[in-house]
Amino acid sequence: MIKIENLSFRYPTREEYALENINLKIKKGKFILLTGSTGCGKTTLLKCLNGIIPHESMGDFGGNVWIDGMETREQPVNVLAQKVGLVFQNPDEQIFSTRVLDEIAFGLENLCCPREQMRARIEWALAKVGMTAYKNHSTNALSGGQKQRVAVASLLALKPELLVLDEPISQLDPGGAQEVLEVVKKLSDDGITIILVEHRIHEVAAWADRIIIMDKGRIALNIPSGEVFKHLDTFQKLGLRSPKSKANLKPRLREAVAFAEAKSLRNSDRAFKEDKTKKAETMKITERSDYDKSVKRLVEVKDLWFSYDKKKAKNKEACALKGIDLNIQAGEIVGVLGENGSGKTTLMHHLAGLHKPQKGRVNVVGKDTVKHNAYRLAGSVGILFQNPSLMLTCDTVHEEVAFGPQNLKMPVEEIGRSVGRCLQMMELEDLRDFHPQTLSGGQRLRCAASTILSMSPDVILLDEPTSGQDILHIRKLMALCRDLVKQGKAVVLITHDFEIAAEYCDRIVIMSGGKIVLEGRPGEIFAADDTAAMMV
Amino acid sequence: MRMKFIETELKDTVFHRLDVRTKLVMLLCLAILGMALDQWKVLAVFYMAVLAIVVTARLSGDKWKVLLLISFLTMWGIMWVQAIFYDAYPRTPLLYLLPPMLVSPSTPLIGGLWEGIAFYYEGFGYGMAQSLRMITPMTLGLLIFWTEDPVRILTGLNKLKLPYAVCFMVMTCLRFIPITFAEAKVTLDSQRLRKYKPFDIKGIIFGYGIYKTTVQVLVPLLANSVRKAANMARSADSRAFRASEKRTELHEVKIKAGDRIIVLFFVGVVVCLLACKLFLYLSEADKFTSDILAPVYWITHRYL
Repeated sequence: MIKIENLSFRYPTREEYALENINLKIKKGKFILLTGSTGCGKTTLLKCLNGIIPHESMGDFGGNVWIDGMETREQPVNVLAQKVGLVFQNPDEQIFSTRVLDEIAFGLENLCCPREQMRARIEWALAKVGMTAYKNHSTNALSGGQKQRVAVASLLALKPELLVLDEPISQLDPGGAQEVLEVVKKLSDDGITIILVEHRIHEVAAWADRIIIMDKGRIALNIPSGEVFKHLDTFQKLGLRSPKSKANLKPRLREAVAFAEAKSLRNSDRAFKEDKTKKAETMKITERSDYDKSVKRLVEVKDLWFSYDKKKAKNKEACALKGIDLNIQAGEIVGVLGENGSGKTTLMHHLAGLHKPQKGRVNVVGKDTVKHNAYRLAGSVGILFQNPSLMLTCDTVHEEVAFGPQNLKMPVEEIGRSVGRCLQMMELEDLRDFHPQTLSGGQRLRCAASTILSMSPDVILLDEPTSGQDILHIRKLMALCRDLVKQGKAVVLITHDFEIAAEYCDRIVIMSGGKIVLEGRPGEIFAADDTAAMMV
Repeated sequence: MRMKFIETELKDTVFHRLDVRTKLVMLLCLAILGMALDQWKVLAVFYMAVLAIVVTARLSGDKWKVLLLISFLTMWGIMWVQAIFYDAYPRTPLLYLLPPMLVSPSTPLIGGLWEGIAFYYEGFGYGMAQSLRMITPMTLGLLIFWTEDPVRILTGLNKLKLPYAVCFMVMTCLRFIPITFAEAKVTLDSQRLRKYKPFDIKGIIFGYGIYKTTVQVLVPLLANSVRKAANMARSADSRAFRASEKRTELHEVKIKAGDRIIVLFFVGVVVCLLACKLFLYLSEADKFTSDILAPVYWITHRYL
């Protein structure tokens, strides 16, 4: 199916080869997990498979790539498009239409497919990804996992021989990731060859037939997935996540949701109507009394209700947050987990003073967020948004990191010290005069994190900082958070990454449907045997 | 985060049921009418007619608020600017900011201000006409954007013989407007949390705040858009975008009799107006005059 012979490629502005002497044969219907640290050449290899290299990307290209007997060098990209389908990381960047049906039709229309055949193929592709019921839905109304399944269906409709997925689950919650992986596995069983690029090896390895690891433009390891535990040293040596004997860490989410549905919802109904102190109950494994009361509380959230539509605020079902109670002490890292749309980011925005509670109270560092908006909380709270690139507005990395301290009117010497320390911690010293927007994804994330840390806020809020990052960068950021909490700060981390949450957080809060349904220490939240599996 | 004022509202009204091409032709005709008409009173009649169409489309309160706010601010701003900078004669000063003859005509650089600076009545009228020219098609444009699925706009533009690649770009822009707004909000929020007020009153009054905020918001937005565009281009290419000159369409678009009548009406009005304007111009330029056309000259001169 895929044959790669002596493939090498060098970008025009680089001295080193991005790909060096790659030789690979992949049989039809195999599910391949392609992984490696950032910059190892994975994406360049994918571009060679669908013909973007050499047809649209300039550089030194050597060797040959055959897809289903077709040499990519000799075929234009649009012909190869019918053989190779590409699914990207962010579903929002690959969905053009506002309706599911139209999105699937897009590629077929481009290929001049007759209307009747088009309808048949759309039905077939939607059935393959289990989205038939959503045919006439708006693409904006779908969850992340559903959007990604629509993206897969839009390519499936073209009946490709090879489906290439570039980090398709990196922005999805575990439920969404599971949905996508199940679909991909089913397609592989149906004879479509799959190449899936992913950093979350621990979640994908169990689904794949083979695992290929790349390092510095070369193939470092190419093994059947069954042999993965014989090569754990290679994973460690290359700074990659180790695959697990079990597919996932599983928190006791189902148990907690059932608990909440059985008891708390009735209480929350009454609480909402009667305005009493009883709110949506949380299944607390660790009671609050277990925490040291002498330690300063930096965040106090009491009976917080919030709806984006103020007119519907009285309708409890329409609320994004439903009676949240949460206290965070100095010196702890609190992990907030939950499916997409469960209210994690909305809660975080309340802690930053970006939203005001419609009912209840939020106190951050002793300041009520009703009276203190984001501007007045600046310096006390720092937030790293989900897309850190949008936070970078200055001309150089140095100016960017100094922007906050200057606005806070910190003394010049202190600004210098703080900026220098942050640049050093985040390994950005050599890039201090670069424009922040010209940095790589990981560097932009570290730069955005520095802009917050330079203000030394007491509460640091991190919204999914692990998405799409390799484990080395994640570990560096989390180690830094550990240092900060030792200095009396508090860190709130929103993540889909159970493994990181279990390893670095002092407390885990799990949200579902706008409520906190489970709260406790990591060891208590994650099932014991799975936690053991994690340690493999 | 929801931004209702940029979401499409699909309802069952007469305007919603119109073919998208009819709506686009109406928009084009209104833009031409706006440019061709001079009298603000006639332009106001057209604007009222467009507002009547908006009423029939049963827009939500949020959208009405946005529409009226944009229209009012545009009209208000243009009228005041034109009232103060109106330089044609005759003109009737209403209020002097700088009295006449306070500056001598022989004064270097500012001698031209010898007539003083004032708000002129005629300037208000002229400003009113200018603003109505702008807000009439803008109102209908917003109405189309609010009542049409971007895919239908794409199909409509394509059927009007606009190249598919251009139509696709238009549709993609429309699709990404809400996302771009959400991204701009993230940038502004992140600045507030770094003790920077993007819309500081002093900065806005003196202008530097608007410039600084605009640049600071645009840089990350543009950088993000460029990255997004690269991914979108790859995604479109991988689905055979522009693989061939022609393409088929899933939805069959058929124009109805009612649509034809509306298109004919709008095109007819534009053609008549342009013909009237042309006849008057030819007459005034002594190139062609006919007694039969006397009523046309009179109506055009007085009302159009």
